[in-house]
Amino acid sequence: MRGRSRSGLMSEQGRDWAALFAVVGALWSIPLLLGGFSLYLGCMVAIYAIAALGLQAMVGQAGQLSLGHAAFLGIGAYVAVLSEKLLGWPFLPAALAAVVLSGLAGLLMAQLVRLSGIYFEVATLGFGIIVSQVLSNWTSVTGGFSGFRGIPVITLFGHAANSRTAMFAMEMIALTLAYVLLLRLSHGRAGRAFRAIGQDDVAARSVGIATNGYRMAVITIGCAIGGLGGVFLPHLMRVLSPEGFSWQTSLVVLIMVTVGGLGSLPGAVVGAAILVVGPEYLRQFAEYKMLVYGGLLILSMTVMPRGLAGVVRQALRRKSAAA
Amino acid sequence: MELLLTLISGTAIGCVYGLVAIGFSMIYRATGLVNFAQGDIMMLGAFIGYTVLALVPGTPLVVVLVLASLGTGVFGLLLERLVFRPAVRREASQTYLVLLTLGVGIVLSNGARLAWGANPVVYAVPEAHRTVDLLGYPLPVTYFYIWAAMALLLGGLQLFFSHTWTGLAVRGVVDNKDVARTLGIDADLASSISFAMASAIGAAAGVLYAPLFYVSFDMGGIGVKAIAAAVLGGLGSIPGAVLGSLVIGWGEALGATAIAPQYQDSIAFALMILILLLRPTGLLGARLR
Repeated sequence: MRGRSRSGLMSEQGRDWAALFAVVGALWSIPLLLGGFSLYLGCMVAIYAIAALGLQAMVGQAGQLSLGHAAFLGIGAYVAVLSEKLLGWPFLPAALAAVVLSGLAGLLMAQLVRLSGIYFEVATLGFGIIVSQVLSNWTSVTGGFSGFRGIPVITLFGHAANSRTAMFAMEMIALTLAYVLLLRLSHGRAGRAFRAIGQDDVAARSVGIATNGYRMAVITIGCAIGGLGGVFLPHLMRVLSPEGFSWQTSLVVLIMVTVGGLGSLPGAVVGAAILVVGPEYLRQFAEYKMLVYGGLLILSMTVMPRGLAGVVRQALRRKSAAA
Repeated sequence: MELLLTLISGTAIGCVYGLVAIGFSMIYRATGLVNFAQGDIMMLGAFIGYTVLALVPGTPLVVVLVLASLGTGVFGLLLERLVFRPAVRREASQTYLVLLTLGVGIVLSNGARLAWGANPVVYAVPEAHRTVDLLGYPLPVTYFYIWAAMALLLGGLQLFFSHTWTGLAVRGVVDNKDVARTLGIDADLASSISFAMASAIGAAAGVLYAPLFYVSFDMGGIGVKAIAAAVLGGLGSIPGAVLGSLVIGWGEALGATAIAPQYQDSIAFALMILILLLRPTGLLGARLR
């Protein structure tokens, strides 16, 4: 595998960077060129793409299947809004607090890594359900089911970013930063450890990788990035309610990651784009939405287990073999 | 006395979780598959029962239960043959298998939503309103059906796994696939039988739950708690599944009265996480490593 890719035109790392420029470049330019509703869709895609990138690092690369990712979007969203509304903080420190606290909540969940495989997965499911019930029912702090209205406009260094273009640009900066961070990480020592754990935890431990430490690290990072995605959701919608952070959202983000291709960072972004944009253009079939999502999940698992990224990779390989 | 009543209803709901959890554990033992669609299979069974009652009003609940179990059992057999067996045979990783069963669950629940509608429905059976007095307190008669079903099932499974050729063959395959194969036992048989039985038992849980509450496309959420129960009891162990379900049933019922009913699910899962932190493979699970 490695030998062949090295003899090709581009190294594996070079190809990863090329995929980043292609996918992030497309996501930057298409909504800005089309404007209007597409810009709003772009904002939505960016939020879920950020969350999916975090989950991809956990699930796709390190094999830590989390069934409660929506909880961290929720923690990010509520911490950001509460620090703005209650403490009067500006956006940047509020967002930073949101990311740090999501990461800490992730670290708390990561204490469950000593549970093996399925025990861990069911525990993450439980974690997600607990967080979502607390958000819905702790009325004195979170506003309960009705949540909050009148989310403050994002202000950066004294300037209010009230145009949608500014909102989109900020989200995309966050997305680009998160993507670059995860890509750098995956090319380094930590990334190799993550993949080794993802492939075979016991074997990884036997060659001296401190698996539990790396597992905790990847879960913390993935959850913090999930929180970063969550920060933007209430600022885009201008309202905040708990229903966006339920078990269903955890499933949808998981499907984004899977359809894009488990283990592939560009796949996570593309998967998010498909699952956010698709339903908007198929509104008359809205009641079939989850049915189609489930079907997509089964299809990706049976017909294309490496997702869209696998299909693209294979097509490119065939092309370079033919040339 | 209030406490006793809370425990009694906790035991009844715990037994419903237990029926789903037993199926979940049987599938895990026979195939290594963690079937997140088990709750949705229960939902399907409840809806098949609802359809039987709609077509032939006045069908006795026991007949409804048998028909729903048969129908769902056949469905489980097909599901195993067409979707799960190819994936297990490909030796797909645990992550893939879990995602596959999640996909099947989503398709089942949303398919049921299209077929039977988004609104919850109730069973038009006399058992839904009938009560039995126990020490002066009225208890739903369905509780007794649930306990009887659980007792019969546990006895039946014990006989099946120790006294019938098929049951012994399934155990043989679970213990050692290769040895079983050299003895002429078809390893796929264990997988098929476990799936069919687990689906039938899940359907029974759905039919017994329906007169107490309702039937709706999203009742698979009950299955999620059954999975928590199976995990907390120790995966793959049938006594563990029952014990775990009772713990969840009691914890939930007591927590709902002591803390707040809207935190019921959280209490169930917090209990599970707590027990797993103390015993990482569940109460009766095999000691690993």
